[in-house]
Amino acid sequence: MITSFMTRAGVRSAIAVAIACTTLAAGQAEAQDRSLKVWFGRQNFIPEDEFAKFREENPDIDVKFEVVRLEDVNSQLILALRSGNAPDIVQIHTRDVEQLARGGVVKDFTHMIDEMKTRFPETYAQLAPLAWEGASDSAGAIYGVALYAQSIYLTYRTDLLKQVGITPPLKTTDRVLEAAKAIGELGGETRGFSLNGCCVSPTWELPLFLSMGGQMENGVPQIDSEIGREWISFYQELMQSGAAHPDTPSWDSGQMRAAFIGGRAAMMNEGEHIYVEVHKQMPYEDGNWAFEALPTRPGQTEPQVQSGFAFPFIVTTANEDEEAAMLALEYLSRPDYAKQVAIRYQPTTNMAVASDAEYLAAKPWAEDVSPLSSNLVSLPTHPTKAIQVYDVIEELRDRMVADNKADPAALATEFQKKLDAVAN
Amino acid sequence: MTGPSSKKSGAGRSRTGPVRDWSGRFGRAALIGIPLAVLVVWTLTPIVWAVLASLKEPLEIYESNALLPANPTLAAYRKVLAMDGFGRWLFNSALVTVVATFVPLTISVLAAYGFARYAFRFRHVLLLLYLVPRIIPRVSLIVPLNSLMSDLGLINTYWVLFITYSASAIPLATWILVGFFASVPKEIEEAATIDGANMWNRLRRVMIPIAWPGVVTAGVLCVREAWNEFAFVLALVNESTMRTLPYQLYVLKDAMGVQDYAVYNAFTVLTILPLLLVYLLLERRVVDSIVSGSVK
Repeated sequence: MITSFMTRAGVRSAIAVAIACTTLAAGQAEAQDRSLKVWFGRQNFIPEDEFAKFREENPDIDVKFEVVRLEDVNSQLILALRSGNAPDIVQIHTRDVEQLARGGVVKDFTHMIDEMKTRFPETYAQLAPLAWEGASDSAGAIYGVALYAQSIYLTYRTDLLKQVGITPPLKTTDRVLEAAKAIGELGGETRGFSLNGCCVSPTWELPLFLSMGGQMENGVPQIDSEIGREWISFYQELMQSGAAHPDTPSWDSGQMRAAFIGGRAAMMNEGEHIYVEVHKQMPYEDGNWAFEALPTRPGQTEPQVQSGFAFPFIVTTANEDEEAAMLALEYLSRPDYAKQVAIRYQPTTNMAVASDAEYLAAKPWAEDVSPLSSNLVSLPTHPTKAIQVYDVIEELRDRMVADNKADPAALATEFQKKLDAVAN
Repeated sequence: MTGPSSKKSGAGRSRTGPVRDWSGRFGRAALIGIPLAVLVVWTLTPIVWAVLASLKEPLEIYESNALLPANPTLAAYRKVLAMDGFGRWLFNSALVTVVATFVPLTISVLAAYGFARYAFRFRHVLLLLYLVPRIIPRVSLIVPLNSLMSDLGLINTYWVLFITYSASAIPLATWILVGFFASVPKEIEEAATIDGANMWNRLRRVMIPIAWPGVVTAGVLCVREAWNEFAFVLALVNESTMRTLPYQLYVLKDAMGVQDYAVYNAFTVLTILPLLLVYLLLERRVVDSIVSGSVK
């Protein structure tokens, strides 16, 4: 009897709790009848408050976010669109903007960016031109905002250069080679230059090609040229001379960076975001490492180009609430949030951050990098075959490091043919 | 020629008998022991390396080839366990593994019994066709599966993982169990029939207990498949709350920063630990079942 009563009471309580939960959920749904889904390319890009302030300012918008790796985002996005659960905003590589736009995956958001300019003039004015270039197609249509962009700089240990009697800046590739070889000849474990040899996209090598005066036609590097051959020879010579570690063909970016950070390499071409880790091991203020623009060829007549690539937040065609997407983009663009990411990870295109005291204290090299990053040119990419072009360049990078005795002219011709084949 | 030489060798045998016995025993032990030792080293080295690497400082793996950590630390484990969602990913992995083991085993036992005991037409062809889902590369199944599951509205649900994982495990388990059921003498089943057992009782009380090592083996393989599955979960799930441990392990890889291999290895160790425990637990069961089966 007692058991039966307890069971009935239990059932009644469960029903009451269920009704209460449903009512509560319904109430919440009424309060948040707008929703927004954002995909970040890395955990590090997520603002620390995880949209708390945004929710406070826009209580009717329910924001959800996920981390979908930049490496997988294109395929995941297409699958998600197909299944009807695609995000409203997605973070991608700049190189893929036009390809996704032509595929009808991302939305021309130019009109909402204009609205953002009107409604939030202060935030808008803080953003560098690269914020829009990095989120645009070749026709100028804007699909979102590129809040984070990086470039690759020649980074070196000044203390080791001093040991071999070389005073920076190095400026040209022949001086870099000379310094790398001299340091390599010092003996011990320290090599002259740390390189990638596999497993990562050629985003370190293409900027050097452009810096050396290399030309891109419709996003395809013209490597079957004098500049292309010199570019290939540069890497081959680092390997041949022993200035780079013989295991380099199996090195990815992690090993390349760790060799420099761990003091086993004197130079590397690297982005500013890695300086955070370098600084932890070797405080910048101690003056034992520094950086400069990527080198040019000796006697180069073409202007030095410091190219960069961004990780824009793009609005997808799944978005039905354009205002909510615009508000989220504006929120992410604010200096407070951009600063958080810039301090721990990638540099931001929000120029207000560059003069922020907290930022400058956290990144003592920021003032020195500023003149270099202020003139960044977006790395040109093929409108529809960017990934395929990158794949060929990656294969070439692996070859010129592993097969360092191959004829550079033959390599240039072979890979130009491959590039032309995939791009046409 | 044959006689004296035989005698000689006979005499030699008697003189060096104990030595020969010893060398024979030693030879046999070496024959078994050396490959076994190689196998153990081969199997354990990556696990030991991962455990030791997980105890290193973030940059130590790059800097030194030493196997032992210079200053062992559990910091990487603390980082992994402090990750938002680790408990959820562990739960997801456990849930899909349990379901994707019991469902395929239940279906496979019935299917394998039918294939092993009933001589219906085209059963060999049907058994062969059973393997088709295993023959087709998993990657080529992703797009049609995603499309199908999207139409069914199952993307980002547990159901999509239950269905795909189970469907992938059923052919494997069935093929293993067909072999075990077919090896059970028919006379035993006929004796049970004479004693009045119907089909269900014969299966439950005769076939499954005798073929228990096979059931456990199939179960272990189902557990391993579901626990380690990656391609389907990557393609059919994109919400972090629905991820499994292998998916999250993949997400940890970061080519844009300096990869923290200590954390990566700590995550790997924590991912394989439950599976190792299951293996150790069930390995004993399999041995017990084989021994008890031989006594019967």
